[in-house]
Amino acid sequence: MDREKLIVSNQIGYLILKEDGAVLESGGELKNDERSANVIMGLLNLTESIDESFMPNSSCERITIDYEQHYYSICMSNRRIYIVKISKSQNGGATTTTSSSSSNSVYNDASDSGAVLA
Amino acid sequence: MSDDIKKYLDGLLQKVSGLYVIQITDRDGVPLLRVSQEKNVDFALMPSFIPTFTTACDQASKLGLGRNKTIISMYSNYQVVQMNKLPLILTFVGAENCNTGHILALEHQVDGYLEDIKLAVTEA
Amino acid sequence: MEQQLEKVLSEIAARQETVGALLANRQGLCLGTKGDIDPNVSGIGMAISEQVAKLEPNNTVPATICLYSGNKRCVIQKDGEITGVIFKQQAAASVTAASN
Repeated sequence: MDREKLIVSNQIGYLILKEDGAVLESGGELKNDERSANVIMGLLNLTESIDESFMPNSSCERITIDYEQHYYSICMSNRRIYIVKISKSQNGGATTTTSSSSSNSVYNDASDSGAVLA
Repeated sequence: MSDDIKKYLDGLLQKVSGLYVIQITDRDGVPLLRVSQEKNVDFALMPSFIPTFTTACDQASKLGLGRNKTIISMYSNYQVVQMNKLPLILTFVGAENCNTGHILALEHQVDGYLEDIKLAVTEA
Repeated sequence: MEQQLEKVLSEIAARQETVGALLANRQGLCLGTKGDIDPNVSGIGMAISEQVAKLEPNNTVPATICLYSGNKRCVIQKDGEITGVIFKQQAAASVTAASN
């Protein structure tokens, strides 16, 4: 992970895509992972229109996909799609252990929602 | 105009996995617009089951539950969803495991695009 | 017959900040709703959960998907044949608290 971009602490992989799905940058576990990129582009295509009356179309600014040990955070910014795979264990991934407040809130939110469904 | 809706329907075909064909016809089964995937759906059957739908739809409307809107037909290899849009009939053909709910949800979205074609059909 | 289902939906809908909840079957057809949610969402919700299942096909534990838009969230989870969709909306007061 020395030359690779560190977007958030605890990250174990990242992808930066153009709007059309072309991979601009990648690293960690997601290095050159075109398959995941395609799956996520398909997902973004689907999330454009969920329910017009609840969320306006294409208004979704962030998506998280939450697994037991890790989660993906997907953000759209500056005509780029940022996908970060983040470890939930504090010592997994990056060396810094202090997680930023933003990644912390993602974690809490997702785990809370998981509990609701369970 | 027709390019616009064709492009839109092509997009829908990509979006809904397992969807093979979307076809817009008039109530006699005369095809007005069709988009399809490269899958080998038996197109030879298509013209005959559209007038059949019209009949089935008319009969179903007599059940005393109001006007029939949609008929979903499940087969071992295909599913067919047909929507009654008055002068038009909208037909979706997909795999048997295709997301039926997603197809049904398209109904409201497609409405806007159908207006122009509806107008053209009623004028003719 | 669907009493169990209704019970689960009521429990979900009673949670804090929940606007509505819905359950969909394998075909993307709506099994039941509670609160303010369009039954038509079942199809797209199911499609999203199927798409995400392709991301890590070897992972046995299903993922939870969360879509954020302003103070609203849409939570989707697939478990076997059933997909659940929950719409949540943060109250105005807690939004300002969270941004601080």
